[in-house]
Amino acid sequence: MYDIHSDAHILISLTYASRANPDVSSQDFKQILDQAQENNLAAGITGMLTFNKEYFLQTIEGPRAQINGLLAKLIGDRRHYDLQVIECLEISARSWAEWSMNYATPTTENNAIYLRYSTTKDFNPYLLNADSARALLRDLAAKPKKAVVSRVA
Amino acid sequence: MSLAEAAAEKNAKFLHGEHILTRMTYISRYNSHNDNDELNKILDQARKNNSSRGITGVLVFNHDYFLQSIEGRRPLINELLRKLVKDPRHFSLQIIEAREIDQRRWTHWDMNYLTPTSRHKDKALQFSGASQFNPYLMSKRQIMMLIETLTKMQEQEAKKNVVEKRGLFGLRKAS
Repeated sequence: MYDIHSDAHILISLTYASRANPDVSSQDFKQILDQAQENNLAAGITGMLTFNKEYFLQTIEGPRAQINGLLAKLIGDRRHYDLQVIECLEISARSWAEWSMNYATPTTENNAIYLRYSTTKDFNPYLLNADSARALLRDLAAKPKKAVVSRVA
Repeated sequence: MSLAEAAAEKNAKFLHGEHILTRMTYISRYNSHNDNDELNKILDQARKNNSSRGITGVLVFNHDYFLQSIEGRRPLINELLRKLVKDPRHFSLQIIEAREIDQRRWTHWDMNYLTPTSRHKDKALQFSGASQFNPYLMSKRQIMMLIETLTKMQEQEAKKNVVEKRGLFGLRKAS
């Protein structure tokens, strides 16, 4: 007999875009990232975050209940706004084995990746469809390791 | 940079992915402290707000749970999601699936209201491993199949009612 309040053990992936609150300082950014690192590992959440001063684009993967718990917190977080879920799917395997972050600096290399998946060379996740958003994150992570802040789970 | 380019860049900052048609399906628990007529209010509100925003969809309700699928422009679906997450009349909202679609499944500008009555109850359990109906234990595919099955049942019942009306009133057309 199942507990009526239990959840199915279902693995999902959720990708969202959001706009950074202009008041957020680089100190706040560092805090966001450290906090994300800690909370996500504890909840069995892996994924990839890329951001600049204006936008966040993130994929999170993990148990359906935990991912949705995190989503509710993210929606209430005043440090960003206009959160848009781009895609949320049930998955049979994670694409991200760990928790990765990437600062979306406008380098030649990054601009080439943004341009590959959008109409502009600027990073604007609101203009991306789900396939492009997924591929863009994958390409950013595939760059040489020194450019990606990556910590093993 | 030309004037047109500058305008395009300025425009892009406010673009939201309006051109992308999205379907989002979620489940939530109904707050049992709600007033008796709260559900009717929720339905009225949804009908009014969604039709003006081009949002179509279906709502399944069974006194404990909501199952809802909503379709529309990506930014508007997400605007609605942000409201839903904060709405105290339900809780533990879980997105089951959010994806881009080529066409809508529900063409009505309002919500279909499907109550799994005793006739529908068997259908609910058909897609569930638990002895009690609980969408939190169901996979995306099971939830989508249940919504689809209940929708078809409702469509058939509506058709049957029309036929019965015709039988009674001769050539009366379906309203």
